[in-house]
Amino acid sequence: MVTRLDPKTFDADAENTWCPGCGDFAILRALKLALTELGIAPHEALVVSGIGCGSKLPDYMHINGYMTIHGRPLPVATGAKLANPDLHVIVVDGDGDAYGIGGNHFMHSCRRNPNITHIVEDNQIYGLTKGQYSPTSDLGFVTTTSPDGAIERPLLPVAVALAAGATFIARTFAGDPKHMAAVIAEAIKHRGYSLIDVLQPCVTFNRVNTYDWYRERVYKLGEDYDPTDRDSARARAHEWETRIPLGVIYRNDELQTYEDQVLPLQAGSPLASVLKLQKDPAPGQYESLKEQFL
Amino acid sequence: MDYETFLAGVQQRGRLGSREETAFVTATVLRAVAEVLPMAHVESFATMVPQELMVYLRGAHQEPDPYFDSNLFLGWVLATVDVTGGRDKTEGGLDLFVAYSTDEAIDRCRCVFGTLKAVLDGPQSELLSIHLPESIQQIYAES
Repeated sequence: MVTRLDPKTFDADAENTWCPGCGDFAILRALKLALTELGIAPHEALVVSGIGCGSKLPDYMHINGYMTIHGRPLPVATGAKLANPDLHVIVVDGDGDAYGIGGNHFMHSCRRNPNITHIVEDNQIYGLTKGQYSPTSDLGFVTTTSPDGAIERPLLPVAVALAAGATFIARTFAGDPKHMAAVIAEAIKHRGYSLIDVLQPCVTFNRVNTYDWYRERVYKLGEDYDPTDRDSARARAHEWETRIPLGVIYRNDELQTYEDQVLPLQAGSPLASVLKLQKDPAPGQYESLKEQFL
Repeated sequence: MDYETFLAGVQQRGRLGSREETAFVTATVLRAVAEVLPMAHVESFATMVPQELMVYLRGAHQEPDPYFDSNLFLGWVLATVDVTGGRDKTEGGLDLFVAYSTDEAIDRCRCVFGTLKAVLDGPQSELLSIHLPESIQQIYAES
């Protein structure tokens, strides 16, 4: 029997503790819409998160979920993808998790190109710990850890991803859930590492970068924009203070994924073998696997 | 109704401290309304809503995002409310202390909606209401 997918398919019973009005709600909804549109069922996907408000997201979805330690969802997701390349692996974490604590993993995921979709809830602040400045906070941003204003220049994640070799880089805005769902769907379809930097207000601790603030600055890249043109992407990647581009900023669909190049996977993944074994184990297969992997 | 009378109505309903704060609250709620009200309907409010406030409504989109929900609507208002603390509602949750400003944001919506309803005629009030996200419609109805 074929079950028709619906965004409600992904609804979970867990009580949601995000602040009402938080952009995380829109991201959660957009992800459900994107998965529904692509016909990806809950058992066919895994959402890996780090630590932070937005990283509670797997708890609020009926889907395979894994909350890792701070900054580490990308290596865990890469491992999951290697273990089961058939799984759609999606990482969801915040700007502090992705670009700060996990900055090293972010950079190397860009160059490795595992087939993972990385959604970064970029609210320019650490919200869960009650408001400290993050790697993407603007200069002069006043927080509990920068009472005189942040003195560090903000990281430009799109520019970093481009320089580090990411094959799909997009930006969207939590205030535009339809656009966000379309961009997430496009990123999931891309074979390789895809970064989606989601501009998302923290309605409680960031009183500067509000919905209003973003609305005045964001603009959608037009149909005449060519995301395969690296020079155009470089120019867009540095746009920030007064005009902020939304959409697919760069894509390269020609490169092989990380797992495409791992030779043992070409003969079938280890997890796939185990699952087959569980269905119909032949005498001695468990022992053989143990010798092979343990 | 002129602009100052409108603001006085909002200030009285919301028991807001100053005219400046009232103007800010009003603008914030109307900007959120502009996110859900189709541009084609905006000018039909021009004869009833003070021109100083039509500026915010004219920020409407040709086609509002169909997935713009109550949380997003409240988010526009919440971002301007001072943070208050409360206990985390989850059992064994990671947060020991969590911020809630929702009640204040809803009150702000109410005082602006209440004044808007006073200046709009029945059909216009209905037109506005049907374009609001579901939970916000409820707030509008109770205002």
